[in-house]
Amino acid sequence: MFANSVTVILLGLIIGVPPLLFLAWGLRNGQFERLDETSYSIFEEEELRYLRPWEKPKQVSERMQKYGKLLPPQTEGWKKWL
Amino acid sequence: MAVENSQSTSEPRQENVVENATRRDSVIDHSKVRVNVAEAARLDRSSRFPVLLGFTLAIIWLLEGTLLGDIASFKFDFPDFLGSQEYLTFGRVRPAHLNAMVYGWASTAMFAVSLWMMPRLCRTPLQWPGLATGGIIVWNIGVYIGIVLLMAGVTDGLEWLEMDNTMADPLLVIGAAMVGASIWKTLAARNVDHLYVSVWYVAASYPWLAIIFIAGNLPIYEGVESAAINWFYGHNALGLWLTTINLGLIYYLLPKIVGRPIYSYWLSLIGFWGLALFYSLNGMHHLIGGPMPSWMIATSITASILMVIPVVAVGINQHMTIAGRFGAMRYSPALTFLVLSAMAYTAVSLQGILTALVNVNRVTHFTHWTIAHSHLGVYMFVTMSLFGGIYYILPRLIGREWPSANMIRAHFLLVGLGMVIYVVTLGGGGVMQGLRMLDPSLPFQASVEAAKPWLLTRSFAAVLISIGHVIFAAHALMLVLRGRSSVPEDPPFFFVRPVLVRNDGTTHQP
Repeated sequence: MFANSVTVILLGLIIGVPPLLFLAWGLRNGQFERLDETSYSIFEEEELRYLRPWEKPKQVSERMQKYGKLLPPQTEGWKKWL
Repeated sequence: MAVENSQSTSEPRQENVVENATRRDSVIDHSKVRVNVAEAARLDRSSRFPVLLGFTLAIIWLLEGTLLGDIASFKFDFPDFLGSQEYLTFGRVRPAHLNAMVYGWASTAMFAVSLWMMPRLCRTPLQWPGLATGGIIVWNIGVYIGIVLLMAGVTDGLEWLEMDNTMADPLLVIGAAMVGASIWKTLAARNVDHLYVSVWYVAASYPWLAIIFIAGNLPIYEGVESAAINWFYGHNALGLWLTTINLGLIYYLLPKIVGRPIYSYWLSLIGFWGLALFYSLNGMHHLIGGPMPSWMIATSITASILMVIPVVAVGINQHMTIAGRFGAMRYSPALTFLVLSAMAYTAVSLQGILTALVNVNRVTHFTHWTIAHSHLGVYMFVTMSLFGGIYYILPRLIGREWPSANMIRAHFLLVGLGMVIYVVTLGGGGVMQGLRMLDPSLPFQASVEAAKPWLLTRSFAAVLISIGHVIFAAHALMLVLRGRSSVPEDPPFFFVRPVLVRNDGTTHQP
């Protein structure tokens, strides 16, 4: 066996073991529960209620159903650039 | 409370079950931490100075690294080009280009991006912003010293680790540690319980960078072991540093711009934990065919193949998030860059897995294919993602729109077209080069001749990309110099909803 293989093994463990510990911490602290709610946490107030001009009528309708009456974009907010 | 409820029900709005559940739960539940635009602007202000400093220095490095890259590229076509000065010889210019782009441009911009994201994701002002600012400065001094020494001929001689490990590397470690301390302090002071997936990516990146960079630079390895550690570092620098911050950025901005949450949050976690657990031993696949113990190569190939799981998870997730809404790219340059970057991540990862297979590696090893592959990763994925981030973040911090849609259009078309030409031609040329090297009936010169036209095409692509960079830098300068009170004549929309700042500089209240 390669004489100094221990170095590579050790480095692999130093990189790999802490994520395992954090994974255990996350599991114990409920980090992986209520995933859908967490996915919504990045949005600011009313952010999802703004009309997106690229959306198809069906998508607009879905947005309205989910988030309520839609708000118009601000001024020239959504303007094609490409 | 009853009055509030009756008022809210008078509005023709259906209840959002998910939102209500979100608001109920969490340490400070999301009903209290769902920020309004004014609060988001306040969080942005807390990180404003270090983020702007980081972007400024990063763009300077981008221009310098581009120039060095162009010189290195043209030396393949015209070997005597700028060959009279020692400091401009290929052996110095090429590593200087790599280090300027990886540590100067990408890493400094990633410091800025992560310092901007963490306060928003943790719903708390940036902690220790002065330390973060100092860290960025120290890091950049280290990069500057390292590159000057490289061009003076002082090098450690290991790919991705060329900078001097006594004069430059300690400064890089100290700088990254200072920025990382600010990131982790902000994480510790967070006002949310659940960590969004971008937080996992960003927070993990800093200790990973410290471990691999210190381990890679320790002057204790010799011979074959040094090569093993070199590629342990080189590959992990891409996977556990450059990749992670940018995936975190994409997971944050893609849903926000499109206006819908990530397709599957569960898949995003599989992507992160798969990367965290499988990635670290991938690097040794660069040494297939070398005098390495067979277990090490076999482990590396196995780990590389296992990466299919997180890569496909991320790819599916990002694709499905924007599926049916690709038209949004016509309205958002930030999204356009981010989508291109996300696609490149999937492509470069699958290409990397393919390259780790022995039969493929036999052809591509020691050829320009590797250069095309690394540019697909470090440029098409990492740099495109950072461009997208800068297009989104800068207007919010400066309080003004980007001045010109045409300049953004030119930037995108030049760098996008240039990089497609770069990767396709150099990748194809690399394969032809490799096939000729494997043919014992052909002299080595045949492999060189086979690559020459593709190298010239690469130089042409490099010029396109360089022009794009100059336009981008000039546009960023125009954005900064534009007077705060000035009103854009034809604002290209870059304040993606919600609009944080009006043209007069006051905060918008919906």
